[in-house]
Amino acid sequence: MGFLAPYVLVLAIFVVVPVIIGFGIGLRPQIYRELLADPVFATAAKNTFIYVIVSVNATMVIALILSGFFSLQKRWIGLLLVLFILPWAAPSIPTILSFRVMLNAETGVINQQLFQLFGIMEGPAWLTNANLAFVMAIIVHIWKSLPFWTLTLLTGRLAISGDLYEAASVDGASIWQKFRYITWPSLAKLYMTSTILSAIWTLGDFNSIYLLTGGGPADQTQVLATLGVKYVSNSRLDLGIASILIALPIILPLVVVMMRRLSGGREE
Amino acid sequence: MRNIILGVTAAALLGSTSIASAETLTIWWSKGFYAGEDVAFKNVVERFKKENGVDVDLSLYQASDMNVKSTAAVEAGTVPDIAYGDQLGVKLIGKWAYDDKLEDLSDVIEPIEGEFAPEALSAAKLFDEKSGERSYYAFPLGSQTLATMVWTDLLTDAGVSTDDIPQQWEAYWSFWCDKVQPALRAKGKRIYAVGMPYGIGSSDATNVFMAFADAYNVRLVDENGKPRFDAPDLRESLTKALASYTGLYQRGCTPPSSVNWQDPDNNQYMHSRQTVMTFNYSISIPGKWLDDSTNPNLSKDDQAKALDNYQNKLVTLPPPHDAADQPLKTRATYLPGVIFKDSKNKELAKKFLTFLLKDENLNPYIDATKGRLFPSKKTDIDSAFWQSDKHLKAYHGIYMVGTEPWDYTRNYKLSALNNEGVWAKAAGKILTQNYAPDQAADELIADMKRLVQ
Amino acid sequence: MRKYWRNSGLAAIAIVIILWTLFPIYHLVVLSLSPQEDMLAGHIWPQNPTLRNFGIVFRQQHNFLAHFWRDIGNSLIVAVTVSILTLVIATLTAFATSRLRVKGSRLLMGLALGTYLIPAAFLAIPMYRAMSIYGLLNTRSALILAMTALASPYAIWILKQASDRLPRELDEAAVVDGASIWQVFRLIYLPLMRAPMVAIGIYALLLAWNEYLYAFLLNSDDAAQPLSVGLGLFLGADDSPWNLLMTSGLIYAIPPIVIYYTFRKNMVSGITAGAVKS
Repeated sequence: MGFLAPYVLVLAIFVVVPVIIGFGIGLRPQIYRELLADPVFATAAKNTFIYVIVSVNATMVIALILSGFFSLQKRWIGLLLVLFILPWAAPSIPTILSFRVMLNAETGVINQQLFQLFGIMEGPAWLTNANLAFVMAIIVHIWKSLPFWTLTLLTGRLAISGDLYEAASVDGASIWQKFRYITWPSLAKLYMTSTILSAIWTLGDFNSIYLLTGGGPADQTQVLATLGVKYVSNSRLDLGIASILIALPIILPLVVVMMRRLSGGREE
Repeated sequence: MRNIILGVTAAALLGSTSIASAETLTIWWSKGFYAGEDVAFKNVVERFKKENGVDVDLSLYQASDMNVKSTAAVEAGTVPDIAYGDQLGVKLIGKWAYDDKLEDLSDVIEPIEGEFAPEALSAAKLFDEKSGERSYYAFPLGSQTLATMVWTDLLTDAGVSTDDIPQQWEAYWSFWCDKVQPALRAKGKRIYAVGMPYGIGSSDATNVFMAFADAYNVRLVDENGKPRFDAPDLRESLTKALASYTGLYQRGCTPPSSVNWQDPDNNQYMHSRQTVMTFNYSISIPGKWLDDSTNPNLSKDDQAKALDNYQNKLVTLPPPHDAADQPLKTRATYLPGVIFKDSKNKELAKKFLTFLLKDENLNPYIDATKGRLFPSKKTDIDSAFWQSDKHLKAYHGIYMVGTEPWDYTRNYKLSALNNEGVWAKAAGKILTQNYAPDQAADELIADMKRLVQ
Repeated sequence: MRKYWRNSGLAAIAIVIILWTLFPIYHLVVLSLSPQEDMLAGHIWPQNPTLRNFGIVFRQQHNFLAHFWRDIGNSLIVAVTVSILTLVIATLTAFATSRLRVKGSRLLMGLALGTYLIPAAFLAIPMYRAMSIYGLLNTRSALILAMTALASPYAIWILKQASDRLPRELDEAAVVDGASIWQVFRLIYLPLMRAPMVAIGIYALLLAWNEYLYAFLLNSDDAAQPLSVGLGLFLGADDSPWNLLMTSGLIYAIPPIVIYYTFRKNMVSGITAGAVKS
């Protein structure tokens, strides 16, 4: 039992107690009335939904395709994989701020080049048009998370026996048929697990939005994770906690499904 | 093994928590922009330590961090002995005074009342609901007000000079949008005439919007601080102010990205000469070039360029006249500091305050901000420093015309409007969601009613 | 001919991957080599590239970077302490739950997994409140303990899986030979667990070094702030030199990248193992 004591302590003091405190603050019904009255909350809730659905599925589909590319047994592709992991290995602050500078409507390299090369005075409003800014945040999120999921699916692909593919080639199967009848059946479960896990993490993605758009223009790109922190910075801790608790009905089922999938392994 | 872990944890905890003893004065102070500011303040602290044989635990925080931290500290009752933050006055101090969280500093301030400008004193006299009276719950330090910065060489490129700038509000903006910018564009330059901040959460946006509100005589409260949100003239004047403010963006004479601008951005765009003029509180924009002109990290060439910018190319001008062509009295933000009721060493804190507020200690610190803070003490206001060059002189002149206090000094509840950034929110609706100005004004008034109950 | 098309298709994909992956990082490097005016001019390559920014950062010659080395030191202390604490906690827990099968293991593993799955940003605000009640705000300890709490669940889980794969006969034989549980742990278990422990130690190290949100909420005292928070100062200040921000950001990014690539083999197998398992 003594072996467990350190983690039990850490868990109790720094996870369980904060969660209890959070519920203690978040259980007053009138905060929710105030929260729902804030139009930014509705925007953030809608954005969070779109953000998760779009970026998770886009990431996973691209990762699925790229994992096929990287599973080709060529030396230069192996080297490319090493490079490809860079966005995952690098910290968020400098890389996302690099995107932010790059996409600035006046001083960013893209619009400056459009002006210098083609004389376009007003290039695309990458971060100042709410919709475009939101798309950019999704792209940054994909940039950051793609390597991890590609690697995960790649590991899954490499676990599939090569004999199956060889036999299929002998039978004259097309690339699509190989994918449809060999790869996908073996990967489907991993793909679903990854999608759920990615959805949970994307719900909590603070950096991509905060560092790229700061929630702007005019709070139009806020998501729940950034809105909660914004409330705290405005000395409204209670609203911050409420904006998170209100998302629990969506998160908890996902978490429960994941826990079943991840911990059920041995019993199955 | 468990003991080892507890030991490691305990060592980590002890190593970084400083436990304040009775003899230690805890000060939370705003981190300055220039290294010289922090040095000047630390000098005052050092001298105080030496003269009194006490220890001082000084923490310097970024202004916005200070808001978060001090809010948490007030809630948890773990306050420092003295706190000063550039934004505390605008955002929090009025409420703290109202809620009886602050120590009455009358015994420190009253004996030296005569040394301060009256506006600075009145901004430090705050209402405490418990006692039902106004008293010195804060100490005056410095202030900031609105000034206009202009690149004169870019004006010359556009074929005009500062003498051509009309004074009346609408004519003034028309000059920038319809004359200066097209002239520069005709020469193939990708320059915007105006740099106007609109970002939610930017204190610059709040500050500049108030000038638009004043230009159209928006009156949110009466003389006694009573809100007049239902007054029929308010909706009309707010609509005009919002239309004028957002009109600059819609006419394309401020950069597209200004809808996102936070506090650094209007400065940055001026520095990189992407805009010809901007409104800014304080003269930190020319101050940057002055600082660069002696910055040892820069090449001699760059230093000379910076000095040329400061002396010859950049000018500080008063804001234009209002819509009725009357001189516009700008709002001045007084930046006070406080001692809390819950502070552990109140007597020592007051002793430090008395020490700090002496001319020989305070004035060098204020002057080290290079105009970022305008002094509250008459000796400093009247000193040769403020006549020593054209930017300082012009800024001093704006104060001498007379300034207006912010509404939240009359009624602290209005500070919620600035905290929430309601002005930038209303402007954002016009700029990103195609609201008409009167529609945005209606929702703005509803917001104000909700926040100021 | 078909092979030609196939190869050029692959090459095209490779070029897209290279541009996509590298351009933001290349851009970061360009910014860090630009003097302030150049940085806003949007050149593909700076007209007057200079290493001066690095000199200013290394010599701490700007007020925002006055404590650059102290900030790096704080980041390092936090990252290393989190890594050690996480390893100790996770190894003990994995040993107890996997080898000893202590009562309550299942419940504890469930809680750990739950903690791992809840988005970290969602725990941040309650954690901030708790730290302020504990009086730990603005100390390095707050960040260290928070990051340890966040890194442990995944660490435990990975180590438990690794130790489940060790043959049970090993410790049974040792116990028969009269070894105490503690000896089994130290002499048999730890040496066998070396490889996954390296992966986990680095995982926790990088997690703590790279963290921004918790660092920024829990810790912005001048003396205790890590470099990530120091960089954040640039975002809010009235007048800040972004070329220096980018330079210090690049320097900040180098250690995790180097560590990552040094231990790449351990990391890839160790970290992705989690998701792959089911």
